[in-house]
Amino acid sequence: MFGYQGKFLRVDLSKAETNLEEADTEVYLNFLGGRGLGVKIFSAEVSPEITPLSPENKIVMATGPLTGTGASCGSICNIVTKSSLTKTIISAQAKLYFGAELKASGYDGIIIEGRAQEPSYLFIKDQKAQLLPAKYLSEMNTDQTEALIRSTINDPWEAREIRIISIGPAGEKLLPLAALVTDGMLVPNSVGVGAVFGSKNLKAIVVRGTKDILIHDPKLFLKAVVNSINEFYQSSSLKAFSELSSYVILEEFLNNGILSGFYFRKPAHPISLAHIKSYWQRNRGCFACPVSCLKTKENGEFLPDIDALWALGPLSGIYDLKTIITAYDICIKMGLDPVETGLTLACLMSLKERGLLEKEELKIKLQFGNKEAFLDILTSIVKEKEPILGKGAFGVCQYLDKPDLFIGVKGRSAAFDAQSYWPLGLQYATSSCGATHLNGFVFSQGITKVRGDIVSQVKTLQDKIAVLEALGICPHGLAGLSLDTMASMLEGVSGITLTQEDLLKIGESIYQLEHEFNQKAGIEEDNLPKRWLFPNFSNLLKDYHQLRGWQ
Amino acid sequence: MYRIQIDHNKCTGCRYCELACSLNHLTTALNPKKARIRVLKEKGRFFPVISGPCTDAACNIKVDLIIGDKVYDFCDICRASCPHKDIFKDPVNNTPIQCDFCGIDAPGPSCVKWCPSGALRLIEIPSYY
Repeated sequence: MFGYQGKFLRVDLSKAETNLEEADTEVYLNFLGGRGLGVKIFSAEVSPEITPLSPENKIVMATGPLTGTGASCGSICNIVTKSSLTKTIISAQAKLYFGAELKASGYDGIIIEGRAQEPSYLFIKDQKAQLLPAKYLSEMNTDQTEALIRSTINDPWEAREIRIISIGPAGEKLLPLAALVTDGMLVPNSVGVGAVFGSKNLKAIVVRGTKDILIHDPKLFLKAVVNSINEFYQSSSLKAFSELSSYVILEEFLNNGILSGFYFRKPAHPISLAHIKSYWQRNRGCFACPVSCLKTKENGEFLPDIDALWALGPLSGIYDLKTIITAYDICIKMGLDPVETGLTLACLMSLKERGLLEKEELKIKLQFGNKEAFLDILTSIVKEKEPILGKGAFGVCQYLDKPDLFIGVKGRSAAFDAQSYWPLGLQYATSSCGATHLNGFVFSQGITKVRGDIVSQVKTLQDKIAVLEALGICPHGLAGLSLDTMASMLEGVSGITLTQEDLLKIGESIYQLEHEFNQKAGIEEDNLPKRWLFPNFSNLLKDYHQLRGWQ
Repeated sequence: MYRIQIDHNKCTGCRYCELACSLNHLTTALNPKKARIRVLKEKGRFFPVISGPCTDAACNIKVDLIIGDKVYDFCDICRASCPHKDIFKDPVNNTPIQCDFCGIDAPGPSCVKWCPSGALRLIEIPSYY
């Protein structure tokens, strides 16, 4: 099989066994790979009713046919599991080099099941996998974990080139806020997955690969890649995204009130782009990506995206960028999802202002805009001095019996105010893993000017992102690259010829599978928080469900 | 005389050059580990390093390096300071591999052609030999 390795690794943590499995070619053709393959395998093997932290839950990691091949933005490895925060199926997008390295190691993906007796980490090198003890890594921050694992490897070059996905103390403590971190970068959309790793006693996954990826038609592939790079140079929106990252929509969002402050109770004071940019020292891109949308400090530590910056900043009443960046660093090191963590603290501040945190166990020193208390509390989350913090915003509101005060969908907090921006509102309501923009929204200039049929636009974008992740392409690429380019790259790599319509159909079937899983799992209906219910919402939602053919 | 100039201020670490090199030399497969250019990372910075000649003769110069505003031309600081000379070996059969500029004439080095950030540039310098 060109473009694929055709092998899967199955790891049974309970028996400490690793097995190589031949892949089913037909499933590959129907679901391509990545998110498609991950969701297909996961929903076929796991019963929707299980609890996320039980040994019956599985983790399916899958790369797409274009991952690691040099196709533009092709760096994604999807991690599909049942999230402990939203209780829905979730597919995290591991970026940077992990996906490419996994594919070079000779596997298209990994299926992890069971629960290890002792803390362990999985080490994969060129189709050889072993489980190693990780007791010495327990309670370690993600950066220390990575450094310690690297220090166990003799070959200095190999030590640099291994790629690691790890969890921090938050994941080990099974907090629903826990996320994954790869090479110092947050794995987007991985909220609640860290706890699943922790419940399996799996501290990290390490890969190293030196195998070839065979190409079906190198000439065609080369042409398609050069075309896509040219497309990137010609696309003003993608170039702007490359330069400004997700802050490309900062001004627009501020003007339209989509960026809110004080847990959505007041509009945010503006933060200027120039001020934010003054902290950016270096541009960074993921594997084989012409877009350099990752911004780092001089020492290589990543800086927050707009959603994380807003959650840890203005939504918690904090406008000091230094504090926000420090808070972001703490989140990454502890393995906490910065968006969900920030919004949990913001929610608590808002509850406190309403005088709802009067009980003895809830006496937390928190106040909108209090920087020191904010950082203090943040570091204490994983120490579980205040167990309520680890529950997440939804958990806290439920505990207090005030579910209406929670701003989010399916247990996951929303980072942007969708009240006046209907397409985002519809995306939040219908997303298969709670209120997130990550699987149905692309940052590009002029996005807030709503034209035409919102319902079909939202659905098409969700399908497009689903199929892009199935191919192994980062959704950010959609700001400038077309599905036709993807199709020609796919043809060059694997020899599979698909039209744009075929690709969209695959995207639709992936979304359908996720929806069916969630329905069987008894996830609440698509909805928005009461405060955001715009007048037309129920009609839009009805149209959307009709378009998807759902009841 | 052609040389590849590297501006590591622009390098984003996307490793497109490694892929381009491997595709050009393996013709039907991709494998960054078999590339004749590798991207080293040190703290927050990336340094593309080209597998130059193995001798220590005066011709051991293939890299122009920009640090700050200064251009260190004809300088093998990268490779000289690189503790991992053995990175430029085929991982399967261990044969040393070397940059050949992809046959400089027609298409030019593919790493330069693919580099999306402009960190790699093909420059012509007067020959001293």
